[in-house]
Amino acid sequence: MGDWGFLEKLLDQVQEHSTAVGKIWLTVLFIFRILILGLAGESVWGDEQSDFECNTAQPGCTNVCYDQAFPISHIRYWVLQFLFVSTPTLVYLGHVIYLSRREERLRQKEGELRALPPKDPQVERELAAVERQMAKISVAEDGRLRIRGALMGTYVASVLCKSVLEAGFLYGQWRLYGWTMEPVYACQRAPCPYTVDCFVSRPTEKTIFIIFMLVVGLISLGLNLLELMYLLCRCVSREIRGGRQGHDAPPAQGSSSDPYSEQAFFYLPMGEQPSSPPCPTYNGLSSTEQNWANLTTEERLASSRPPPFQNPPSRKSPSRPSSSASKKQYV
Amino acid sequence: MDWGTLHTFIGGVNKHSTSIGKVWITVIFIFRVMILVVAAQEVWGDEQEDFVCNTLQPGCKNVCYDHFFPVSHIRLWALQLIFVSTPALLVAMHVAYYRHETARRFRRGEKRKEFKDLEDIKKQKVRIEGSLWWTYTSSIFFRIIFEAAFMYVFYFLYNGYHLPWVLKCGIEPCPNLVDCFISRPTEKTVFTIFMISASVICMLLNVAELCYLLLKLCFRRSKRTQAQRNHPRNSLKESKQNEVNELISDSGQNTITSFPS
Repeated sequence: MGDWGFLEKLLDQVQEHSTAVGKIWLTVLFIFRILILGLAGESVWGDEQSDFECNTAQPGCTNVCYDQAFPISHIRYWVLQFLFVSTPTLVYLGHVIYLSRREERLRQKEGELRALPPKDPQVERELAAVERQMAKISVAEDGRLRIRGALMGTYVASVLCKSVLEAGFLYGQWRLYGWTMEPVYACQRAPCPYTVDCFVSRPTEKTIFIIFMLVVGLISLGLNLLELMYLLCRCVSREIRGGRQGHDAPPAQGSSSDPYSEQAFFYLPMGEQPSSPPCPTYNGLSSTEQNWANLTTEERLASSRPPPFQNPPSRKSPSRPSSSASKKQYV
Repeated sequence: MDWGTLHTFIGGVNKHSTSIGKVWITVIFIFRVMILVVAAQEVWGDEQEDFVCNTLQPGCKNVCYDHFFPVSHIRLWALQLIFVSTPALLVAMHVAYYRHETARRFRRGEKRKEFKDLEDIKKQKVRIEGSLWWTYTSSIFFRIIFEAAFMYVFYFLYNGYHLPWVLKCGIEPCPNLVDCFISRPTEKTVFTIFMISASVICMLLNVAELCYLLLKLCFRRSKRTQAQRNHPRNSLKESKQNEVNELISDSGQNTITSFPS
């Protein structure tokens, strides 16, 4: 369907940034809704007004009775439903594109700052600020954005809005027309002289398509609710895991607890010593505590053996070794 | 009506727009063009055939339809979309002209340092600064004017945004005041309100974009004046430093232990 092309292209882009359930939902949307709308729209509902006949010769009676029976045609109602239900997904896509661009610009800025001489304190401050901002945007190995942080919030909000809109439209359709198409409609509206019988065109075929679209709508709603539960479970399990690790991991220096936890942590540059202790983790500490811990570690190391390197360490504060290397930690 | 061509033109402008501009283009194509093509054209498809008047007088129905619907809603919306999209072409033309000039200077050998080859010039993202800022801002301004004008024309032609289910018509050759009935008035009202709401949203996006561009300009100007204010102090520092350096180089024996601040 060429007319839906633009929307289809946009929704295709969202596919890669969705969960598995989200991808199924998008496929259901495309195949069972757009295609069926295209198939049924013209052929089944095409002659709905021309073949709507009323048992009267009164001019205008057929028009007003049709208008009363069908304030909005089923086909147009489904088009609006489809559009409104896709809109939260488009808002999420906007957020994804915004974050991708921001990540690209920050990476470029980081590259430029690293090319400058490192001893300038202002450059170091700006570099730290850029790295802080980049830490908020989580990127996977293949360059795609991970659904974390603010992006997760937008994703959950979009799924919630989709569910509400879907349920709202299904309820609206039930209130307007019910789930079947009656073959006869009794109409009493001026200028009809009395209660006239009006006959709908193809009521059975229309009933079949109405029930089909109802089932697709319910499946879509079900998938949205399933996705909400899946995201909730994922959040809860991550919280439990994070809480357990923060509780167990030692807060200070020198221990070899698992450095590859999901939470952010910083490297302390130890020079070129192969036998330097494994990088300590500082989970759950504030930045001040972390700085004191770093300083204490350095003093301890400086006192335990002579400094192996000629130049004093250029940075006292913890920093990411390189953006691509640190991104590998977020596995 | 082939909207694909318009999509191609406007898609090209998309690369040089602000974020709000990109949202505006998406709203235009999804909420207006798509709804126009997929839904609205079918609702208005049979508007003249199913326009029925309570008379047998030949010609009465025709003159009444013509009186109440001088321009069909569909055609008016299509015109509105074309007029509203056209200022974006000004921006596209300006960017094309800028690229053409840059390519000409590149061929003459002037901008060899900035670009590697002609492909690089084509791929470069043009920033909204200088004369392009003026073109872009005026295009947004015209967009707002066209949107408002069309909304007013709509309101004026059809006496509001609601379509009545019966119209009274007494124009020649109708013998008396006849009742005429529009086809699908409720559905048409729903879509009219939808399209008007989309126009309002587009207009608000344009106003927001205009404010954003003006704020960006003021911010850039204030940064420039601040830099100019800092610069005289630096040059003073530099001139003092130069004097001191001269002193050092002239009298090698007499070393100065501290520099003046």
